[in-house]
Amino acid sequence: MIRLAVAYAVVGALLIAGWQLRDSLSFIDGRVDDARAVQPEHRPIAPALYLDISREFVLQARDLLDEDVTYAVVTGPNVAVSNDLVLAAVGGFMPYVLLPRRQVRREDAEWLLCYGCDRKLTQAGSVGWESEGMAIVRMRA
Amino acid sequence: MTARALGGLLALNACYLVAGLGLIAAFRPVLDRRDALRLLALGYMVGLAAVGTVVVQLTIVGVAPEPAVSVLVAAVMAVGGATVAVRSGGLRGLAIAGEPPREPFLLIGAIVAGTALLFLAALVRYAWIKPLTAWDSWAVWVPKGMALYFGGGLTPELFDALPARSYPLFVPVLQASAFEWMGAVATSALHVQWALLAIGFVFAVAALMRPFVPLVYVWPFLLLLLVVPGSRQQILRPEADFPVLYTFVLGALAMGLWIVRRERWYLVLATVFLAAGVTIKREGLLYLFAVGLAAFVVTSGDWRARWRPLALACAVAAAAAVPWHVWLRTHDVQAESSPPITGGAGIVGDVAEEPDRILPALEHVATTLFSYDLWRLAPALGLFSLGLALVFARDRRLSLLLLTTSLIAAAGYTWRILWGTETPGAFEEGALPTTRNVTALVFLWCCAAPLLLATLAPRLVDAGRTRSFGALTERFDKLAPALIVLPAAVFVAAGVARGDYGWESCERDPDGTGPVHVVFETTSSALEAGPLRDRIVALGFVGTTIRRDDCGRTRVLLRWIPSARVGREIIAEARPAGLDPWLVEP
Repeated sequence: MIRLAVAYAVVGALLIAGWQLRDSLSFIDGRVDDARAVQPEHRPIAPALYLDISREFVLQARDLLDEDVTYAVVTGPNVAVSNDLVLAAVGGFMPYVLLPRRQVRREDAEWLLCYGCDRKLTQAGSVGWESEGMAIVRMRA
Repeated sequence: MTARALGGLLALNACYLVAGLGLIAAFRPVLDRRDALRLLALGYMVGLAAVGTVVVQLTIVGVAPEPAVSVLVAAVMAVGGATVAVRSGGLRGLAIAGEPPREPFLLIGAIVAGTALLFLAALVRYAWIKPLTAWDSWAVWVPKGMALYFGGGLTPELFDALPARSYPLFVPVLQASAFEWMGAVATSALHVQWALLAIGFVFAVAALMRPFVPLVYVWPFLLLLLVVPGSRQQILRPEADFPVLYTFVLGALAMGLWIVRRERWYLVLATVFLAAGVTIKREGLLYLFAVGLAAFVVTSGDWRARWRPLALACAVAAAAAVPWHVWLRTHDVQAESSPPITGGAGIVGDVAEEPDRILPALEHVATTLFSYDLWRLAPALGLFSLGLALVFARDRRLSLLLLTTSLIAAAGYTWRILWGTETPGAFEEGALPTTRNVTALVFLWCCAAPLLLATLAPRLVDAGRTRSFGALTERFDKLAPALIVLPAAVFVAAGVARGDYGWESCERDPDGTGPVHVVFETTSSALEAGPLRDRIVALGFVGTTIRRDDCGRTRVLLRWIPSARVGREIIAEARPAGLDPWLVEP
């Protein structure tokens, strides 16, 4: 009886694994196709594509900010977003894209990355790039 | 993935393999070539755990996780281990000693093992091109690895601005080491590293059980674990959940084998894995406590002989967590988003004041643990095997160890929920790590199941046994190695022919119109770029700066030159100064 129970366990694992295998292989194939659809130049900023953070904003920030500067991300309602996550995610996403540039408090930042923020905050700086409620502004050298 | 990145990753992992094989050889005789082959994956995981733990401690005291550090630590372990092995006569040559042990249904076991390897090859194919998208990966774990890489170690300037500063360092150090070896912040390539961990883990589990558990018992459970939805969603994420799970399962299995078989090397393995666990994630401390306490309980009948080595093993493993906690204290970093594991009576008291929340929390753990959507029937089968062994096995020490460990771990998960939420019943997975936590128990039960089932029929595999398990299958038993390797080899070869494993293009040649960048050099380390830029600026190329390319390599360059013609003039000016720049499309 014990041997039968052992056989049940092993055969059960084998059958479920075999049944699940096809599903998992097609799952992976689907994900491979999704990954292939991402342009090579967008791969380093792929989370922005999935979250629908403006690609232009992210690429401009990477281009404009030197590697040893400090920056702060300020968000606000003055920009069109496709989902609620965008404004919550953009501040946490930028270190992944911009390191070794350091994210600091707004008052201490050399650059302000404004994603729908109140533009009064950026009036004192020189605008490096702006578009549709977003701006990348140099506050001080 | 670039050729340089792949080469770097493979070299880093070769360091782990060599170090692990050295450590194993120091504590256990390597019997023959077959035995050495069997130990490869286990050696890799031991080396990863041991080298990783030491490099973490070195990082905490201010040493950057550079390639030379990994090489040095691995070399010390490999040479030290080999020296001990040679002196003790542990290396007995690499001739094959005798016939392989006979076992039932070997061919079926080999076919299932081959299918598992095929699935792992499919995972590698996905990892090869997968962009990094998982939230915790880009928000928490990878930026910390990048900060270690860019800062040349644990620099507060870069580290302080990141979330989850108090989380242990093993995974960021592993990532930073990978970046160093790849010569680039190739974040997508980390998926390949995590695929290598998965391969190492499943074969290490199989290696721990061989030669006394038949293949046909081992691989159905391992294949099942790989293909259930809960695994495939998480297994490639370059985060700490799966690495801590791997060390927990391997540590618990090694501890069980030490208790049952009394061979010292199993206790060494358990110590190495559990020590690595506490440097990977705070759950590692829970797992060390669970396995250690369960081992003390199970060996209580043999108290005099066992308590000293067991206490030493637990103390060594726990000591691995101390430097990081000292660093946190001295830098005044508070724990965030998780309870301090050594929270003390205050937290226990808070929970005891609200008994109406305990049952819903326990229910949440149980429903996640047995979720059909995540795990199909894997935990049920694992628990069924554990139950069978508890009731029918002559030696119940292994099953008791696993049961006690599981109960303590489940209590820990429940405590985590109670600490992390305030409303009874409102346990939303997004805010809690329950799925990630219970994955460890599902893996523990299913990885232990073959061993538990084998304890019910202990004479299944026997080298000296001559009775045939079936003349027909026995005749083809020599095909088993080919059946394991061939499907994956064919899959990979077909993928190569189809171009699935192509190299990433890091920069584009200018098309002749529009502005260009003049790249002076691509450096293999971020720290080299600053001085190089300063030297080039001093030569008169004002405006030279540092940027990463699409592959994460650090470039020193002059950007937005109006045309290719002007760019070529700059190149002509730079050559007499010993520079060899080139033009790229912005």
